[in-house]
Amino acid sequence: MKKMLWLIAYLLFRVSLSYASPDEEIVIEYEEDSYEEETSGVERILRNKTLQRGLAAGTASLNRSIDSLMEALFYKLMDNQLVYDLTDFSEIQLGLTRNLHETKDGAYVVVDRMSLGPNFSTPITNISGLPITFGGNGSVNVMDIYLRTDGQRLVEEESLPYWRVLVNNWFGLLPFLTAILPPSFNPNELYDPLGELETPFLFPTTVDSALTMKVGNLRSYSVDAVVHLGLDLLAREEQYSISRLGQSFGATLPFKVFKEGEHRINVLRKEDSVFWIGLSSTDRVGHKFEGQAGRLFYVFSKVTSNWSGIPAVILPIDFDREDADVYKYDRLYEFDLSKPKAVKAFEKGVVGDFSVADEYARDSSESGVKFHFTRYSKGVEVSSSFERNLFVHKTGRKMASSIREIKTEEDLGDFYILEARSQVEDENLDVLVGPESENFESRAFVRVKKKNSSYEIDKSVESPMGIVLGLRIQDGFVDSMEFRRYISDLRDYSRMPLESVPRIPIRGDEREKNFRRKKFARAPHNDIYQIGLAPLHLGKMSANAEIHLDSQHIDILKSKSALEVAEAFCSAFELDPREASKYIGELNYRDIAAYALIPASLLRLQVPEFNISLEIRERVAALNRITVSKDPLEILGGFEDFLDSKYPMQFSNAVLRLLQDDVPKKVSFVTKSKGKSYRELKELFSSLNGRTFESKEAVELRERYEFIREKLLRFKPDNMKEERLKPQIRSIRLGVRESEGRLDPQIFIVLGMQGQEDISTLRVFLRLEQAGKVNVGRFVLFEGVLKIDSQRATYNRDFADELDVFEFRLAGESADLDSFVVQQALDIGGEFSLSLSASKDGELWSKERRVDFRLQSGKLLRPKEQSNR
Amino acid sequence: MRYLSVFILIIQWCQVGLSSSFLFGECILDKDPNKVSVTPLLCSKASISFSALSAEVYSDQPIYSLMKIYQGYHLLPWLSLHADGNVEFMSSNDVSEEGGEFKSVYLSVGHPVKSRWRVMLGKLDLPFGLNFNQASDLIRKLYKRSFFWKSAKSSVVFSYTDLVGTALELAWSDHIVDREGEGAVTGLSARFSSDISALGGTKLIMSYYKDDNRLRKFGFAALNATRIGVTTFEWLRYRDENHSGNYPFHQLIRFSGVTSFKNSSRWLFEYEDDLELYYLTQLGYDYRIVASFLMRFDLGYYRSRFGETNNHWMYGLGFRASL
Repeated sequence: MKKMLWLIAYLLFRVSLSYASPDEEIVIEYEEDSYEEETSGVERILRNKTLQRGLAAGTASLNRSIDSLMEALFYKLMDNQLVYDLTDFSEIQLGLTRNLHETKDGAYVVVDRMSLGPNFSTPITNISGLPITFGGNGSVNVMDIYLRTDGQRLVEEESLPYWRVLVNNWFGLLPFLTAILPPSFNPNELYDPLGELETPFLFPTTVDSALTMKVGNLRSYSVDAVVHLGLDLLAREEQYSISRLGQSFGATLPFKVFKEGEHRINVLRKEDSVFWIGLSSTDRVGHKFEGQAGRLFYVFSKVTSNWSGIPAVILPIDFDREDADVYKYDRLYEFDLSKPKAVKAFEKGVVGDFSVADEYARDSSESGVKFHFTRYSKGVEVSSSFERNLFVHKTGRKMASSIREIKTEEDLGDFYILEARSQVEDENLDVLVGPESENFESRAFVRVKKKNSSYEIDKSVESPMGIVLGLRIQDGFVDSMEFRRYISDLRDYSRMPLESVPRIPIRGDEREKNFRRKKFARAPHNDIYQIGLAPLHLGKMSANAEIHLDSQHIDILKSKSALEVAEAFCSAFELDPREASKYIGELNYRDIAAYALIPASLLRLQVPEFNISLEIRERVAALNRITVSKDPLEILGGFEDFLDSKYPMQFSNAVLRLLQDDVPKKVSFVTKSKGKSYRELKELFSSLNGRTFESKEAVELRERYEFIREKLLRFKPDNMKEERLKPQIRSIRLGVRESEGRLDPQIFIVLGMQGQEDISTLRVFLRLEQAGKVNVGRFVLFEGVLKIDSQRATYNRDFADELDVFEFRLAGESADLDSFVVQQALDIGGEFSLSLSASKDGELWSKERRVDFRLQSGKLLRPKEQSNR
Repeated sequence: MRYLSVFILIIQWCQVGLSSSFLFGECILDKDPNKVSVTPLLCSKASISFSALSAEVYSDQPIYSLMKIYQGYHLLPWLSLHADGNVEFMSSNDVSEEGGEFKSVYLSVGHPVKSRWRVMLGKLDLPFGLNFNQASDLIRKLYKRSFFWKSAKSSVVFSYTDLVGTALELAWSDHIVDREGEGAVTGLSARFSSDISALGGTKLIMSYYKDDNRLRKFGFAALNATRIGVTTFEWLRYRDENHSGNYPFHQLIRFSGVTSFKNSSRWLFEYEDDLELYYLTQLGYDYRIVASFLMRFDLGYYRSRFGETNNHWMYGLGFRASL
């Protein structure tokens, strides 16, 4: 037996020493990045409006992109909830969660969050056997939101005491898991558990603590409370269902009246000494129906006695509808903490007292305190959602619309806006590939003046009205078929040709040919063991389309006849425009059928022919309402109806047809390829990363209302971006060089850096991975940060920029990477993947770049079937 | 045995007399069958394996040899004849068995890569699930119950495919070999499979079977294939109204994986849970001595569900040569 083990060990780890030839090099050059580029994410952190509200109300962030197994097995370690029962009807909850989201340049947005508060719900009486419940909850929430890179994480460890490094790395378990688990395991999810525990104490109540925040860091705290009175309309039927269908089946239809409020203070470090403090306060009063029918299982519940298993929900029906009156108040100040007055005002401001800040902001600009604006808004929100949830697969649509009156006070003078907003989000989620969503958001605004209690359109501004149409596509697992569909959707939505978007074959000619060659002579009864030609998995993708209409565009829309509008919609729905008159005359059988089928839409049962007819009729009527109305509030109502489309794709298409596409619009992409097979095709996919396509007339924010909105969005984790100028890696040269004629080759890397001044030492983050001899995943051979001295030489390549050149050696004599494992692995040869980023100070890092290479039979080669990126 | 010999002779005659080309093993064409005619064509595959097992529940070390032969003759682009058979021999104090049988002999009508419809007629098991095994031949023979996948003697199978990754198969047979002593029954089955791009390429399979002996069988299986290897999961449940056991149904859960060959070797793993009998875990290691000759090591553990058999370890060694 012992000999057999030795034999197996030998077979696994046979070493065939090989030396690389000195004449091979891999050179990659990168375009210069725009410094205005945002660190926008591939994933959206707050997935929808309901969830944004959920975040405010203290519920955990849900439905994030799943690397589902990792989530279930490991990352949950960082999501903890402690519930302490006070009475039969009340409890106190303490929650600590961490969520991590990738961005397109390799950094991660980390959201650490703590919430603490009571929760109670008690039946107060019965009406005809139906229980009436009264309940409420309140909580204090603290969030710490920051950008983190791998390099930052490793450099941070240099300054930490040894015990903290151990704790941060789970006493060595984290590097071990990183080394052996597949690449989807992300150590940043688990790194620094104490940091998560520190969250409640991190809110900067003093200037000293504020100055410990990193630039771009966002911290916030909030107090919120909800009270509700509820009635479960199916309480009796539920008992009946349970007796018939089994213990774990349930159906509920609660109706709730609720009032909720949230008071939040956000602190954002904008620059070295400049901080923003935003105060927001929200009150909502409304009612809500929630319908659920389904069954709950606990998968793997028998595995151990201490674990309840993974809850598996099978809900064939899950819908809700909520109507609420909303009052919201936002205020924003800027403090330059290099000035003493600003320090004093800041310390008052972070605890909610802005009287001093107000005083200084009025007095002089020398105080270092700047008042940006105060914004009051009130309005009505209606939202509904329907989901079918079958544990491994979920599909759903969420719709929301609102109208608001917004008053903004700022130094340039007060102004009023009426805003109508409509949002449709279609989401599919399955356990293998995570969520994919298409989120349509349409906004219309009317700039008004207030006279007594009524409004009139403010004609003093260039464009008193506007419409912004937006589509955001997010998919953590895009295959070639979906990619085509998304591109087609973006073309339909924006009516932009997107000509230079690469055409990626769904399967590829060569793949199809190979498939046929293998399949033809195979025994038909063995076909089941072969994977056919599934579309090619490409990676992660996020895309945005924006269309901006101003008053002139709206005037053009208003000038169109009902028939022209109906024709445009017919064309958008690919119907014959000659039949458009059917949709503007008297009601016909289609419209009546569509009205009759409205209840069926709760179950997402639709008959397109009927629904499209109703859709066109409603849009035509709404545009007519905008055209004939004089009163701004009536116009706003018209906009609300106009935007409230159940077919936002065709809606946008039709509007653009009416405007003959002469509208500022743009489409932008963030893509991140995954996997190593069919790399040429994945190269095409990743070539879209960061690209923006714009119409001739560029999209510009010209309206004050838009600037204010942009500022408020900075307090959303979704919009977190690096505020400082990052260093850039402009070229990487990887090569092999003999050391003084001996068979001990040096594998060297030359980095061409831009954006660094006066550097004597460059820090380089390196992660070297190998597929490994045992085929279970990757092996991280090295992950660390090297300090490299500058050679201050000019790197004379095709582009004119002068770059600082830094050279270091991975292996060979006097290698900078002093690692026995790396040396041995490179000697053995095989395929490697090297990730690099660079920093001057260990704090601000460049985009992460990757070089794949192969060492085989004494040669440095590009990896099989790929070019590098 | 004699039928098998006659069949082999016929095939040899076909090879000599009719075929314009021969393919062996995986039978991969060097041309695109969509563009050029490749028929008549013969695909031939054969393997022979020897395996031995050591476990405390056997008084000696069982030895098992198995020869598998497959011949597929493509007469026309849309017409082919397929046959495969086994010859086996087992030597042990506890079990002894020898013999040969045709696993299937059938005619297939429909172009393999052009026709959406295909029909298969002859002796052919009804399509159900995946039945992908990584256990060694001997462990499979000694421990696993074959009744989860019944064999059929005369069947007809209709399949409809989108030519790239989705297929629906409907099958009927009037001669399904039922449990011992209960004769043949008539039954039907349906299997739907679809390939998705998740995890580098995954096939999802749902199956249903029903026969006139009031048996119903449901199954779900998934097969994931990447360049790293192949992983499968299979669940099937057998509802038998005549069944009297600890549960009102039979159930099998199987999870298996095999890595791709790298440096002439690969790993194999299988876990199987037969609701009425056992939990069976097995780890295998194949080492390729020469291109078509493999040596295999096995380590397994059998845990009885209800204690009919002692829990025990198994150690196996085997060789396999293939054409």
